[in-house]
Amino acid sequence: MLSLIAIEKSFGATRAVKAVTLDSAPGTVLGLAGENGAGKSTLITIVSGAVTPDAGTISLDGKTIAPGDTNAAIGLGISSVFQELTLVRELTVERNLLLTSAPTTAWGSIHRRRARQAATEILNRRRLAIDPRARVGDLPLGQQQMLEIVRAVERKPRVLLLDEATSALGASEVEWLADLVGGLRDAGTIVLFISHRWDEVVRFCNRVAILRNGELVSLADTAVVSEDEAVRLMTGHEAVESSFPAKLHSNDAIALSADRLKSRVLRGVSVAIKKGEILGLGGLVGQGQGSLLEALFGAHSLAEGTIRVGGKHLDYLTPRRAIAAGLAYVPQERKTEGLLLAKSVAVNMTYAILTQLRSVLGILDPRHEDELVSAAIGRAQIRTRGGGESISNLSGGNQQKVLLEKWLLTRPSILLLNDVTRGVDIGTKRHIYALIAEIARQGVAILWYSTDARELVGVVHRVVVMLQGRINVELTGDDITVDRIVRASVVGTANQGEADVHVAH
Amino acid sequence: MSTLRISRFQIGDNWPVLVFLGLLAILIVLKGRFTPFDVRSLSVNALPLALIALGQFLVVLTRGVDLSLGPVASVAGAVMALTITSHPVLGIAGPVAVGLLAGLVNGLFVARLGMPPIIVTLATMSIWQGVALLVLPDPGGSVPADFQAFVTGGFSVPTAGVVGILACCVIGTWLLSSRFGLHLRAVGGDEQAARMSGVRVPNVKILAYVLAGLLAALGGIYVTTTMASGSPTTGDGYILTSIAAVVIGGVPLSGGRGTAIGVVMGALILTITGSLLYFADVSSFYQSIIDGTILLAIVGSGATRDWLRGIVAVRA
Amino acid sequence: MTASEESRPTTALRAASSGRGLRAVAPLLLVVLSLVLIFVGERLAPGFATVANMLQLLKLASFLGLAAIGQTVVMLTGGIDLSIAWVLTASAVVFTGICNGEDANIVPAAAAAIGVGLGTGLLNGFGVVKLRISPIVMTLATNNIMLGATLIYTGGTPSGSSSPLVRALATGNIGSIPAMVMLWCLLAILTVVAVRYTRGGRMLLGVGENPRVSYLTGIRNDRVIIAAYVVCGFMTSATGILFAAFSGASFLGMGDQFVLPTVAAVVLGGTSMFGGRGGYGGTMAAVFFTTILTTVLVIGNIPQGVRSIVFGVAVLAAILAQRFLTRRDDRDQ
Repeated sequence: MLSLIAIEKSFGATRAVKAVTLDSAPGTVLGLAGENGAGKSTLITIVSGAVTPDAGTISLDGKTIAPGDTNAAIGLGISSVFQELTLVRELTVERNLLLTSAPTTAWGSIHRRRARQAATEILNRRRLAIDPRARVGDLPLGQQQMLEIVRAVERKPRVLLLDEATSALGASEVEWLADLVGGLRDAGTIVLFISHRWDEVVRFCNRVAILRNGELVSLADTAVVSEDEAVRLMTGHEAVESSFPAKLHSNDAIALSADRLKSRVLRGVSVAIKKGEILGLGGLVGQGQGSLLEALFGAHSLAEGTIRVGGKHLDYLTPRRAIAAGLAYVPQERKTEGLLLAKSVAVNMTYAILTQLRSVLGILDPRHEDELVSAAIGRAQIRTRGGGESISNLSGGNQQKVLLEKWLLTRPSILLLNDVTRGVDIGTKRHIYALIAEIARQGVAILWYSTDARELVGVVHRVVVMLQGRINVELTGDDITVDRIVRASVVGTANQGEADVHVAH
Repeated sequence: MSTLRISRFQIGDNWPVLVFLGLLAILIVLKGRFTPFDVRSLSVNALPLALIALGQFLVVLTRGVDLSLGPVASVAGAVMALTITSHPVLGIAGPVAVGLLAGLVNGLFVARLGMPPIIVTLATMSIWQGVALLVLPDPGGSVPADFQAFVTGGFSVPTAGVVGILACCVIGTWLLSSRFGLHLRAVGGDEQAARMSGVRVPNVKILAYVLAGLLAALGGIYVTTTMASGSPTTGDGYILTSIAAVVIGGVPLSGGRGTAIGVVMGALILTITGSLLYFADVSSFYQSIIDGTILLAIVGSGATRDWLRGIVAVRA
Repeated sequence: MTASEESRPTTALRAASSGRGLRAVAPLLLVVLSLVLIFVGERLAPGFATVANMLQLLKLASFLGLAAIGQTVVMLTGGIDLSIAWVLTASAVVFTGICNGEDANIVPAAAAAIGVGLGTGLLNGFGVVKLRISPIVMTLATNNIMLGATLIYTGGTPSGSSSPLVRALATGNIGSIPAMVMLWCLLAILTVVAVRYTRGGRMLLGVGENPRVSYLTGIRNDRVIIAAYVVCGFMTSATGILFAAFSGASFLGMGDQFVLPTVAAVVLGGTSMFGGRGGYGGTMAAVFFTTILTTVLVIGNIPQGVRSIVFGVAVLAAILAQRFLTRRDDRDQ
């Protein structure tokens, strides 16, 4: 019996998990369902020991597990599979499988034949048709993920944690996993299964825990929870944020259009944004939204497709060319892709407009820089001692404001936002909504990817939802509701009662 | 279900052997002959570099680098030259202890304190250079004749030099085929993943540096024996050439890949260019240019191909 | 998802360790230690702590100081230049060879010598950026190539000599201050200003700290890095020309003594080996510190062996100190 009692976890100002208590008996496959940011992943990483909870206890068969200690968790039989793979890509399949348990000869060297046999035996037993001699890095992502799962299962765990284990799997591979999980369930293993997709939760799990905003809102047998009820529980009946500014009608001129973009991730995406329009981009995390934004900015290599800005075709797009064409891109990971953390606020803010700063004999004029930076700080109400302060001292919300101002200073005509309100406090969020609305009023075309369906409803003119590298649903006007967005992301269609569309692999 | 994949046999991985054989062929043509004497002299000259390069290889596999191996060899050799005549046991145990200690210090700083290997080994390099000068300010010490004869060989069979080279290949390959070798590659390939898979990363790294120190000591012992006396600077020439030998042997400095035989070939290649130039009647001045060019050629070939391909694609 | 922020911190962790506090502390620490050493030197040899003697010391240090400018710029990009040994020697040899003691030949001689530095820098930069060869391997290879080229060019014996003008610059005084010291100070100020207050400097620090952010901001990373190696090549050849004049002649291997001390000086001065953090101010303090350290040890009749050991221990102590100071910065946030 796996017991979680009153688990609490906050990251800075965000309460990710609030007093979650649940039990799982042996032979239970417990699904953890909920929207982006509901707390599912955080909860599972706490159980695995990778993250230390702020409060609460975890126990297995009455024995409390030391929090934040992955080795202790592994020792007690908790095995986990996260989206980041722990396979060493350079090594072969068999070497990865037997990394710490390779059979050796009397001489001490690895017994090739017996290692091959052991690896093949594992692969056969788990019904994986993968060549043990293949280099892991050369395998398609789905096979890598299956290997990762097999490795976790080979440890004969009491508890198996699967975080979005099907994200890279094709239809037949998902079947394989379903059989595997079914076998584990029959053998009495406890499985915690995270998936955004409700149909998967129904297929794999006999019990389901629905989380919303870090709280456990439902714990029941999967059989008794209908899809509608699940969506309702996931989104809640909370009033939509009334602080969203009123939407205005947009211009008709098309600022940016992309035609049938194809790449490693994108499978034929076409999208157009008008001047002054705010186009929302939704869907589950990892369906290609980030790649789409990067592709439009020239940072994601396209195999096919064209991009036009103001009617003009853009060739060999790079971020540098994109910026010259009037695009600006605010990336998702501000700490690693957006800001230079070792530098000051001023240096960060002016990094994209270095050529516009006045200089004397090559030396930048500090007064001009100060002017621009102070004005931006005032405009965005950034809480900082001044341009000279080290940006790592600022809170997440204020850092995000600096990042936004950095791009606004380039006076873009098209603004691409990648989950711009992530990890940011409510005050800053409101500021950002107002900012986005204001910029759109000035005629800037905005493409805004958000993992929070509520935000999209409040501010945007139009929403497209992506699933597996394609846009599958477009919503306009009154059709833009949280329910429809979540349903489109989680189920595949926007409307109740529609047949679930299985996207072919 | 899923498709079968078989890893391809790549010529790229076996470049060093081919290059060496090519150079050897050229040498034989130039000399007109190839006697056991030639084999012996090539081995004798190449062995110290092969030993030290092997040590460097273990460290590079973990994504590190060790600049102190040369001076460690000097100290080991110096200690041996001073003590072996009077205390035969100490004469061997002493240098070995030096190597192990040097490796342990490096390993602790890199693995337990998380310092960048290049700067740690730069500092220990300086320290061991100093120690060498203190132990043996001027070339001196002595090596008993029969020991020297044993090591450099007066037998009619290919001697200790050749045996040494072969031993390097065999032992190096054996080491790499062990679980330790697998762990070395895992740590260098993806340290995080290795740790999360249960590999004891710090211990693996420390052992790599310790073995490197040991091998450097052996290299120092060998060089000093062939010269019959010690010198405080014998090892200095190996500081950077050991890295060159590793890279020429097809090992990326980013770690995770490589073969022991490749590294030994790298050492042989660097050694043979000297003979080649001599017999081709080319000034020895060209040696370093050739070494540098070989280095660039082996490392840059793949990248140049990609770069050229990139240019062609953009033009198209 | 916020959980992923914690499960695999790699670049984020490195990015988070603020270098600000370190950049201020390292040079300060070195200055304090230098003062201590000056005091020790005075005890060992009265007359040591005079202004005149300090200026002479600075003159001695200036050559390493100039060479370290180039190394600092390269290491700010996260790279390293191991080729300065033979680029320096080659430049010196070319200069003395063409100059042949005549002031009239200075321009062609200097042009050729600097050309050597610029050319090698370009080659290094190209290899690192376009061919993606690790800086250690690339600069090692060019070092070898320059070694061979120099040997061939000189036939084994460098010839010629510097002209009176250059010699005056390298050994003479302006008023009571050695010309080299003034030159060093001038270049030092230029370097610090260039790195911190020009567009190029901002890009250098940005690319060195985070190439991804720079790429997404439209910065041409490749050009910045190549420029860094070219600057290093330039400074190295300049140092070679002046050092040859100072030493009386160019000689084979004269550049070897510069390679690792410049790297050590950059690291001791607080510049991160990962790039993007630090600056020349710290390097300068480190050059001064190591020169004083060596001089005091020589005065104290400490044998070369001990000096090497002390140097190595000092570097280890410095990086340990840096490690623990950086940790504290993180905790305070």
